[in-house]
This record gives sequence, C-alpha cells and structure tokens, in this order.
Amino acid sequence: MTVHRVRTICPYCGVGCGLYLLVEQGRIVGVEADPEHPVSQGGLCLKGYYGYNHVGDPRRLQTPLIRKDGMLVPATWNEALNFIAEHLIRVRRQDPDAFALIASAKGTNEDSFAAQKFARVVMGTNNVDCCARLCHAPSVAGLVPTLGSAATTNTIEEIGSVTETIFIIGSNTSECHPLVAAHVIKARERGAKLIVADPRHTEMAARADIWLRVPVGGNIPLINGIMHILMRDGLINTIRVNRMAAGFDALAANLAEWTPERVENITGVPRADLQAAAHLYGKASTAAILYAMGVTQFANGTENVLALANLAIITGHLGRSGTGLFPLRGQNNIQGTCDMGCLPDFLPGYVHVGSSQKQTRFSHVWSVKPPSKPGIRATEISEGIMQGKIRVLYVFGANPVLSGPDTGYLMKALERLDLLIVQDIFLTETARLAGVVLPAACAAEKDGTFTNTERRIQRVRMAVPPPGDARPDWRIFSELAREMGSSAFPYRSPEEIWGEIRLLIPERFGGVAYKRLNDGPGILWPCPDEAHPGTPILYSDNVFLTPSGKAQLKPVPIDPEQTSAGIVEKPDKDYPLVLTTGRRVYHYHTGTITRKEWVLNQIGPEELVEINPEDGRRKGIRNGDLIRVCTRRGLISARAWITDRVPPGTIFMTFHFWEAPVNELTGRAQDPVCGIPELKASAADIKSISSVDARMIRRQKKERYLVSLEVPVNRRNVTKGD
Amino acid sequence: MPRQFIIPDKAKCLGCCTCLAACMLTHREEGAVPCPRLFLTPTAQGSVPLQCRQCDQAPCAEVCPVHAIEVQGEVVVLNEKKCVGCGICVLACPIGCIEIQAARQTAATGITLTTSILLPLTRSEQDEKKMRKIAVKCNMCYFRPEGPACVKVCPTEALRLVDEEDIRFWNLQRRQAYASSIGFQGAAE
Ligand code: SF4
Repeated sequence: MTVHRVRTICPYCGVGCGLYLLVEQGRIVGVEADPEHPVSQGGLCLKGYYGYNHVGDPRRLQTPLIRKDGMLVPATWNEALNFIAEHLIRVRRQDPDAFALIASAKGTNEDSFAAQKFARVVMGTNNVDCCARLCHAPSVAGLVPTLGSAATTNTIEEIGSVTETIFIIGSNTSECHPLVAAHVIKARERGAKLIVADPRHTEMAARADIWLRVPVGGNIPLINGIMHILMRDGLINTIRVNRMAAGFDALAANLAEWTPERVENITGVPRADLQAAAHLYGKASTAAILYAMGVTQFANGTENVLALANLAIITGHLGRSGTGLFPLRGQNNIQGTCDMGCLPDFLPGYVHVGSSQKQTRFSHVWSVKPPSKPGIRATEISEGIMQGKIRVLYVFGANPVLSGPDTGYLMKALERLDLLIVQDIFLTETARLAGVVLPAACAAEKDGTFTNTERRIQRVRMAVPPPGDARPDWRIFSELAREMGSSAFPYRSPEEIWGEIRLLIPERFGGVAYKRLNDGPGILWPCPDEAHPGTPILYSDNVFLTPSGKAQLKPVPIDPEQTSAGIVEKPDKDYPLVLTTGRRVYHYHTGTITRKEWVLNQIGPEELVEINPEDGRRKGIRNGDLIRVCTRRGLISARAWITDRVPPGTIFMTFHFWEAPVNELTGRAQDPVCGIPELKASAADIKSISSVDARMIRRQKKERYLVSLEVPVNRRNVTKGD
Repeated sequence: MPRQFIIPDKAKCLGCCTCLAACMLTHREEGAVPCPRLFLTPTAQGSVPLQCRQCDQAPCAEVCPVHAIEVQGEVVVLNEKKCVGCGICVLACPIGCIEIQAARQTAATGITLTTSILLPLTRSEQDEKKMRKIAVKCNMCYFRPEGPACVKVCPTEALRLVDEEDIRFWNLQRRQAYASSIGFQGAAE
C-alpha cells in the first residue's frame, strides 16, 4: 500500500513546526518531523507527532445542523445558508452593528481574511475580533505605539544559535511552546544564560541560572526594578538611547523610585537576585525577552508590555541578531489572524479603520468603503448582548464558552441572542448552544497559509478530503456572501484570496507568492516584492515602524502607595488564594481536539489543581483529594495536586477540561486599554469534598455543557446534503 | 552480554512528555499494556524521564516468582501474559523503574488504560478493582527494528542510547584525563 507524505505545518501552537502527514488511502496514518524546517529542525512535541487522529474522528461535524424544536437536526447546505442569509439580511437592513463575528485563530490566513471581509463588506460592520483579545491584545496595544509593530522581532532560531542571555517572563515555554524551549536548551548548551521570572516553578524556571519568583501580578515592579538597577549601575548608554528613542527623561524620572529594596518589599524577590538578573540581561551583548500570557492576561497587561518594551529599548537589545522581544503566540495562526485584520479597530495590515487616506485602497479593491467606526471587542460581546446591542453572533472556530472569562455570564448572554451561528470541526460546548452549526474542514483538509509567532508565512496543504459535507472556512464565507447577494467573494481557491491580500498590503505581503512558499521554508514579513528575501529581524539599524522612526519610551507609573502585586481581585478573608490559569503540554486550549486524541487524553485525563504543600496542610487537603474550587462567580470540582510548583497562596488550573471549567471562576475585570480580561488572577477558595459531592458537581457540568450531545456522527441521523 | 540502555540528559529535557506518548503508542501497537515505561520524575532542577537500566544481574528477574521477567540478549524483557501482578519486582528494582499498572481488557480495543499514567493520583479506587494488574518496564522496544521510540522522538535529543562501546570509550577518556592529572601527559601511540 502506498503512503504519501504531505508537507505541512503543525495545527497546534504558534511555533509552527514543520511536519509531514503520512496518508494512506485517504487517511492520515502518521506524522514525521520535517528535518529541514527552520524552527523545528526535525523535532516536534507530542501534539505535533500524535495529535492527528481528530481529523478522522467519528464525532467530526459532517453536515450543517439547524435547530428545530430545540433540537439540532441535520440540514443541507442550501437550507443552512438560506436560513442564515435571510436572517443576516434582515439584521443588516436594521442595524449592521447588531452583528458580531469572533474569528478563529486556527484557520488559515485566507480563512481569516474572508471572515473579516465578510463582516466588513457584506455585513458592513467592524464587529470582528479574534482570540488575540484573550492573549496578545496588550502586545498590540503596548508594542505598536512604542516600536511600531506587535510582532516578534527576531527569529526563533537566533535564540538557539546567537543569544547570550535569554529572559523568559510569564511564559511556561517548555509546556506551551516546546520547540521554542528546545532552542533555549540549545542556547544553554553553548553557554547562554537563562533568567526566568514566573510565580510557578516551571520546567524552564527549574533550569534557569536565575529564577525570580515574582508573585502573580508583580511584573511591573520587577521590570522597573531591573531598569532602575541598570540606570544606577551605569549600564545604560544614554546617548544611544536618546538617538534611537524619545521619552527617556520621563522614563528615567519614573524609574528613580524603583529601588531594589522597594521591589523586594512588594514582590518578595531578593534584591541580590534582581541585581544579578539585571546585570546578566543588561551586560550581555545580545539578549532576548520571551514573554506570553503571564505578562498579558492582566488588567494592566498593556502596562506590563510597555515596561518590557522600555527595558528592551534602553538596553539596545533590539534590531540585531540574537536580540529582541518575543511575544510568544499561542495559536498556530493568531499572528496571521491579526495580520488579516480580524480586529475591531484594524483592517488587514494594521490599517486603522479610521485612517481615511489608507482606507482608500480597500474601498478601491472592495468597491465598498469599509466602515470607519471601530467595532466591538470580543470581551465586550456578552455585555453588548445583554444591552441588546448585539443580536446575532457568528463564532467561527472558537469556543468562548470554555475559553472566555466568566462563563456563567457569557452563557446567559448567548441565550438572549436572536441567532448564534457556530462554524467548527466538532460540536463544541459553544456549538451546542447554536441555532445553526456549519461543518468546517480542519487544517489537514485544506490549502492555505499560516503565519507563525515569528512572522513566518508558511504553506499549509490538504492531505485528506474533509468528512461528509464539511467545507473550508473561506468557502463557507464566500458562499454565504453570494447567498446574500454580494459579488465580493469570487474566489475559487485560497491562492486567489492570497492574491487579493498581496494587492491590498503590498508593503508586508507583496512578495509572498505561493510559488515561493511552495518550495521554500516560508517567508517572514515584511516582504514587499518577489525579489525581497523577507525580514528576519525587525528594526535593524534601529529604525522603528513608528511615525517618527524612533522608539517611544512610555514610563509605567503605578501608585506609589502600592505595597503588593497589582491585581484587581485581591485575595481576602473569604477567598484567600490567588487562582491563576494556563495550560499543559499534552492538551491544547479548550481540549476540543486534544481530548479526542487517545494518547494525549491518557497522559492528561483530568484537571489537577496545583496547590502548595503549605496551603494543602492548612486546608487539610492531601495529594489526589477531590476538592471544590470556588470564586465569587462559581464553583468547580477537581483533584488536588500538592506541589511546590506553585508558591504558597497561589493555585493553578488549566482551561482544558469541561469537567472543571476554570473560566466559570475567572472574572471580567479588563485592561481599559485593550480589553484583555484578567485571566491570570482571581480570588479563590478551596475545600476538600467527598466523591459523592464531586460526582454531583460533575453531573451538573455535564448537563450544563450538554456533553451528551456530542455523539459520533454514525450514531446521528444524518441525511446527505446537496 | 553487552547491554544497552537509555539515559536522560538532565540539561536537555524539557519535561514535554513526547517520549511518554511515543512509548505508550508503540507498546499499544505491539499489543502490550499501553502505558509509558518512562517515569517522568520531578526534581528541583526540573523533570527527568527515568527508565530501566537493563541490569546484567537483574534483581527483578531474579525475584519474579513466575519467571515473567527474563534477560533476553541485551534486554530485560517482561512477559505481560505471564505476569501475575504480585509487585515483588517493584520492590526489588534498585532504581524504581518498574511500576504496577492497572489495565483493563475491553473487547473493542484490546487493553486500554482508564487511569492517568502521568500522575497515578488521579486513579480511582473503584476503577482499580476492576482491572488487571500488570508490571511494566522499559524493554528498549526490542520488537522495533528502528530502536527505542522515545529516543527517536525527543525534540531535544535528551535521551541517549548507551551501549558497552560508549561505556568503554568514556571510561578510557576518564582514565586518560586522570593519568594526565597525575603527570602522565599525551596519548599512547
Ligand atoms: S511545539 Fe507547537 S507547533 Fe511544534 S509540534 Fe508542538 S504544538 Fe506543534
């Protein structure tokens, strides 16, 4: 039997490792690592190697479903598209802004582009957002005004081969971006130094030269303290800083008060460690900062990012090989989804919706002027529904019921919608509440491009046909647009969509032709013309993408009276612990895919709440006990894992499991600048419970998330569509 | 007999569990208990996967009352069909790299696990009662022509296959270093 090998990209995290899918008789039978891939270099993590069985899973959605008499029943594409079109035409006539779309960060660039174009051109609203709102919105809000772009500045490969000091802050790199961590390990082998700032004793913290156990929410004092030490010890070249950046004097004035003593009082990080870390970073000839959700998912996430940008700018660790800022992206294509304009305030290529002169090229190509009023953010949607502003929600490849903050409130809001449309590959917790469900093709079933966390645009290839009547997302949007009378979606292939993207944003993508991507290792944008090799390093020669060409330093003052970490919901008498959230290496986000992979689910079959032994003793909780975790918003049950990974007073949970949906517990406190919710800190309490109670809570969750609905398709009554 | 075994490089391991997954799947395909024969062991310096050293005078083989463990060529192999799950091998193993796993036989898929293997604490007592206990240990994937699966998939090459040749080589190097430290410099002709 012949096995063909299809070269493509891992569909999980933002590292974007290269792999070959092994296909036999229309089925994926295995995965091989791509030894020539510039990032993964022949390696993959367990999700990349073994996370492919979901593609042929019998629970995949195979036909559209329409809710009739409270039941989701199979329908043909004609019926479903007709039904949606009729509804949307009515909404468009009454108030286009009553429609909102949450775009997937797992689709291709072409899918994302089609999604936002659908919202803007067909519906006439900027109400389109993506899960960047829950992850790197602060990077956009913090890095665009300071450096000019929110993207990773350098390539991952440089970390392994060039960087002298690596500073990881708020990133559990070895679990969430394993193949980036592999480069960190490589760097350590050749003698590079590693600093890790994290409340948890992660695998990376364990291997660090200096581990700064900063408390949850203590990033700003920590980073300001590092900058203070560098200034005090004369390690900042002020002449150079003033040449490349504006605002240094104000920053210097602000930093004066951030003495190591004060930082130690607030964060508990010993001043000697802080000083050693500052010197390691500041004195290195090349140093890079890797950061992720431990920096961004706070109500002051934008300020955290600003502080890091300041640090990189004043030390000059930008614009050269081995330096830079790495906002590590979670999803395989979240970088691309943002580039494609699935943001309420930016058109593709980060053209602000209000900038009339740049908008003309869109009006020109689209023959419609895109709306100029910024749309609603994903995190404001539940509020918007409650206020009656949003009446139809289109969720494409996302599962906000498990991933968004304060699930209870969101679910209440979803009930009030006139229509919820969900387009996905499985009947997710969100899809089970929908009025219409559209079956989509997954990454192994379509062609297109992904953009990884280092801005590398890579070709994704179809290995197997989609199951049943499932279709690629770009095609669904195109067909729906046509059904609604629009002629703006004439595409017959993803390549044609990509052609339009190149035409609209030539300064970034003009030179990124499919034929170049087909043969090569991908291209890092900006790449304005076909002779251009792409741009591995942003801001070389210290020319920034800001209007003035200079970097902008923005001091991050915080309340001088502040004596503890800056989080909104501080622990108190009733809720004495800080609950922080994240993920583990063997599952991915809401588990929609990985929980269906036998091997991954065997390794991590259930939620484990990390609890420090001290808290365990105080609460009478032993390893493996069933516990109840509650916050002001709800309660869940799970098992306790007594471990030193978390500091006393802090507990850690993931959002992989519907059985223990941690986002029922998280709050809606938001960053005022960019709207990211404070998923990293909620005041919580824990208590040991009996297995009877635990089972009861679990049963409630099962009913709430309608888990029983997701049955294999062969047991459903399926009628073939058109 | 020359021995082969696998050692982890502490500095390189990411704790990413890819080796565990490879081990599970490889043994599942072979019809063996589908759980990892590597034990991810947390330490203050990070996790490290540990596995059987394939001892020459394997204490596990010596104590097994039903002769389910045998030294076959270069590998200490455990015959799961013969194993009675008594656990004496677990006690005998000097490095703690045999574990009793609870596996359940189901008609459709052969043996499946119903418990977490990464963290045995998620196992429920009720489940355990219904299951057959079997000892599992690393067998170097002796049935696999390409060699041990874990070594192949590790993204940082933190797992290393060691054979007698390696040991002889390192030993010689160290002896030479020692010799030079006490004044005998330069290699022999
Ligand atoms: S590191 Fe990320 S991209 Fe690479 S194989 Fe793992 S999940 Fe896939």
